[in-house]
Amino acid sequence: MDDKEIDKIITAAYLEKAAAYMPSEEFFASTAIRTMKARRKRQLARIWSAVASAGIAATLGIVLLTTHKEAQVSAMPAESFYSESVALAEERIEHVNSAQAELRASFDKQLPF
Amino acid sequence: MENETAHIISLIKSRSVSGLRQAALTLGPRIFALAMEITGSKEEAQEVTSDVLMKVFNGIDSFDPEKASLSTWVMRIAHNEAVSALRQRKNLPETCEIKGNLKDVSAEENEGNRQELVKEAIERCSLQERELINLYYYDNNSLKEIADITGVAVGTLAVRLQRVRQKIRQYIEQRHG
Repeated sequence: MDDKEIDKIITAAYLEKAAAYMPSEEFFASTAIRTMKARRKRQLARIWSAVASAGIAATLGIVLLTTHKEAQVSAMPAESFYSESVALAEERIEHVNSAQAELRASFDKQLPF
Repeated sequence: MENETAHIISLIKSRSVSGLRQAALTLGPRIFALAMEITGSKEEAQEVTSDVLMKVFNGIDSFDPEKASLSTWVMRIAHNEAVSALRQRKNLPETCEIKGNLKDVSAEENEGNRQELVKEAIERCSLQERELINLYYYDNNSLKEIADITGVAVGTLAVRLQRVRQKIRQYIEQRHG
């Protein structure tokens, strides 16, 4: 038997052997369906993950914005308190000044020396 | 061949059930036959086939035709998966289930049948030899392609193939008379 002949016999025998244990077409086809299902599952998971990430980002954004606004709002009374205090102090100084002037004028009238 | 490759790639890239189904029916039997030869278990070979098909379908975008043909790429994945499945199975002997079954069948049937004798002779070959028989005779790969799939040098494969021919020839001659 030369190489060609033995190759021919081996090929034929092997094909027969493989055919004996080969699973049905349905087995191979089901892999395709499983792949599609797994892919859809992965895509869905990816979408959910993206939605969750966007939700977390939005929530964080809102929290940060609110905190920032609150910080701005809480800063305003201090500022106005300061300006109010300055105005009040100025008003009081003016009041004291005018009371002093009035007192001096009254002294001048009553004690003309 | 190139057209067939392009067709299979387009089927996989279509991402449709019918496209993947057709691709699975084309590639699946070849993957299964190799996995069966390496693992020796139908259940394991089915698992390996599913895993390989999934890897091929999901990784088709990473396939580079410049580096290897689609067939070589697929069969290399199959070889690696099957070998890794075999390595994971520690307590079982290397001999495969099919071995006993085929011997029984052939013993029950005609002892003098040459085809049956060849099957018996194949079962007596080592794991590496049976993988070579699968890839060379069943899957129609060249020795260069088999070298790319298995990582074994072409020269070694050529020697191994010659030894396989010799073993089977001797087996037939001894039994056939």
